[in-house]
Amino acid sequence: MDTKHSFDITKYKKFIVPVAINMATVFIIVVIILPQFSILGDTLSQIKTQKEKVSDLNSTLSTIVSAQDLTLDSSLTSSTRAVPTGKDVSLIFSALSKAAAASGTELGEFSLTVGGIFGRAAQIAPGVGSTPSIVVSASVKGGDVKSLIQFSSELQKLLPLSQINRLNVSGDTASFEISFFYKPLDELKISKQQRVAPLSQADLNLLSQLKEWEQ
Amino acid sequence: MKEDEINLAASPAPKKTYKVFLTPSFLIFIIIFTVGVLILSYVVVLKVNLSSLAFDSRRLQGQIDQQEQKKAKILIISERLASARKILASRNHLDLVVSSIIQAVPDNFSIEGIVGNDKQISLSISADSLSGFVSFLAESIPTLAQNKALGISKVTADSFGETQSGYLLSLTFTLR
Repeated sequence: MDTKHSFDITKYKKFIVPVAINMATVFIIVVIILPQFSILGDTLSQIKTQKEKVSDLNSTLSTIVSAQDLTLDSSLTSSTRAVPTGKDVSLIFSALSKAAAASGTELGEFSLTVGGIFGRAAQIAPGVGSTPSIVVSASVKGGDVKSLIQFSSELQKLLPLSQINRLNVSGDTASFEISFFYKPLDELKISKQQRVAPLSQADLNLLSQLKEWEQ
Repeated sequence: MKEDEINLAASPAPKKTYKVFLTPSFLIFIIIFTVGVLILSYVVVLKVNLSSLAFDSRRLQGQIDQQEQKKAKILIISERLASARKILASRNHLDLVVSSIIQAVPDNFSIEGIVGNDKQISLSISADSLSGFVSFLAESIPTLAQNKALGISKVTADSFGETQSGYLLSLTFTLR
């Protein structure tokens, strides 16, 4: 009986090697190959994100390096003069005076409601295109009706950007209600912004127009 | 051995079965092992690539951080220009409409007054004689109204009368 049993074990010993090989194969598939698919997916996705980031950073760096300090300062002045970061009364007075001089009229009284200076109260209701504005009432004298109307046309070609809301011309005097636009600077948003795109041709054209109006 | 007896011990089957199992198992193992090595190598290459990209990213970010002020200036310029474009696209052209209306008024007329906002413009004009009114109402006003850039949707004659100095006409231009 013992001899018979010993004979059987010897017979099945031959299958140990192929079984071990098969087990190793299954082990490689389950423990090594299959998890790699998930790792592969994640890595490829991370590479794609990193490539985009590097491309953006390269583009940003190239934009920053190619920008000339002098041009940048001049453009910054023009653009912040067009849309000031705050309620700059001196800029408004300067624009009104220039418009009066250009139209051959005389600036009379003018008043404005400054509103909030700091805090939540400073967030005045938006004017045109969700841009806040400061409303100015100005009276202009002199010349004829055409000169008085020219005052409003001249004002549209000056900075800060403005809009004539109402006008009342009678004889040699006129009163205007004008919105001067401004927009507080969102420093947090700017500091968080990673990508810097170069100015487009449309931006450059607008900048050139604003510089012309700044004179 | 008798004819009806079967000798199981002497059967050659196990040897054949063993060979049948071993060869394909070994072949499959080699294939799977090679695939595993290839996949692992690919993952390693990708990880190295990712690490290199991360390094590049940090290097570029460092270079950008050194020029933070310049970056801020460019961003502020872009942001201001976007705001300026929005304002220019949406602000009214009251001055343009009023200027166009005034230019259409004949020289021998005097403008008594203009009151306007972004909805409507009221114009009062006077003249010594009636002669100019016909051509002004029949020609100049329709030409103005047809100019789409001005956005005039309706022109109404509010009043027309004779005064001590001549004739007075009041018009209202309704804007779109």
